[in-house]
Amino acid sequence: MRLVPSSTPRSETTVVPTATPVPESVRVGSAAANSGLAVLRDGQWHDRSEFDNAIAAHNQRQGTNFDPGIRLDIIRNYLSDRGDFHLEENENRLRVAPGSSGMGQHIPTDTPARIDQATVPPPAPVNVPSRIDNPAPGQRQPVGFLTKDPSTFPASEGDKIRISPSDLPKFRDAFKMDPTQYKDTLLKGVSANLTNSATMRVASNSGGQGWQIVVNGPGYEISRSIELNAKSVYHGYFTMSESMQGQGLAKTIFSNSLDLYDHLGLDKIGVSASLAGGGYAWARFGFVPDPGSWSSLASNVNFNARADRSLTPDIKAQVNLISKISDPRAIWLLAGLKDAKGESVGAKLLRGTDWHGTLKLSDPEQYAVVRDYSGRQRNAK
Amino acid sequence: MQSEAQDMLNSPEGENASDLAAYRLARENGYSVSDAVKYFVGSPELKLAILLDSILKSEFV
Repeated sequence: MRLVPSSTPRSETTVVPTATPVPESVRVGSAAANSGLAVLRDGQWHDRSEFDNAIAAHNQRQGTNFDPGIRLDIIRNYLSDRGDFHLEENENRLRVAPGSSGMGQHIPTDTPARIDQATVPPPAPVNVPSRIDNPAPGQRQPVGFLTKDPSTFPASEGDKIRISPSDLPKFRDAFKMDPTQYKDTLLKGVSANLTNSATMRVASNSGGQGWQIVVNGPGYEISRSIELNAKSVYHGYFTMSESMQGQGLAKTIFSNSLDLYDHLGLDKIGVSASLAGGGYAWARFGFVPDPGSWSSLASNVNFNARADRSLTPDIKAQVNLISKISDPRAIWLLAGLKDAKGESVGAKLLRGTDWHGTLKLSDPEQYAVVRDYSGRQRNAK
Repeated sequence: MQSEAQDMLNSPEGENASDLAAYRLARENGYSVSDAVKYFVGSPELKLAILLDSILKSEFV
């Protein structure tokens, strides 16, 4: 008997994001590409005429009527206020240089345009690809697995894959792959000394739609609960010894997990954020607390912040503002909050918090964040 | 022992993506460009990228 290969594991409607994850023009390294303003970003000296010509080209291309002089004032003024960069000018030559002190001329803040009056346009619509195997840049791509004939199932895996005889065919039918392939995919890229002796225990419930999978090796153990009907997976725990920390093991396995979730058509990852700073970390990865969880969490964080003497009044005011936002995604603001020196206070605010949250893989914003944290290739297959 | 979350935190790419998501959410909730960058963006390069992007979108004039 040969099992049916699964080359297109999920439908377009569940995998293709409906909006552009992040405008490429905002990303570091590609900002303002071909815009003309990019001429100032490479740290090199440029003739003023290059800047003027770039603005003129932008006007022609976009149908705008930007005045190069005013644009330059805006940039100079902003950089002067922010302090991270400054505009240097020397005999009609220009460049943006790091640091707050320099030759940049400070223009009073009552110039015609102020950054505080800005508005953000809505996200640009995305062209949804017509075929799942030809997704647009930045979108998730499926991973295909060829299932094996049961007769080829390696005998040597017998002591490394623990699954009941009755569950094995159900697993193959539900996952469209062998347990061995699941384990190998999960541990892909992990060093041999951590994978050779790894074992996987599998158990089903709910008639083969719910699965408990535990993978462990020397110094680590990973627990996942998968509900195929609900297209969800719960990350129960992933523990590792201290000697294994900081080697990227979690990133590799998380990235591999996304491959598996693509294959299985899963859309939601659930976590309980509480242990070892998880309340902060999962929020940074784009996870969002349940609405009820957010309400009490926001209230508690605000209460604790008010009593925290190490926080400045400005930060306390921001925490108070954020805690009033009903959208649970506001936890991203708490986690990402920076003080006047630009240093994160999110870990401090969310330390010790306990909440249940989810990440929707079909949400382009959430997916972009967790993808970058896991180090997954943007267009990996 | 340490959770996977802690082990994944050390990622500059992830930091930028997370800051950018926070920046956009802050803007959705009424923060000015200036304040959203000030409170939620850490990387100087990302700050500058956002600034130039907002200039291009005519958010200044």
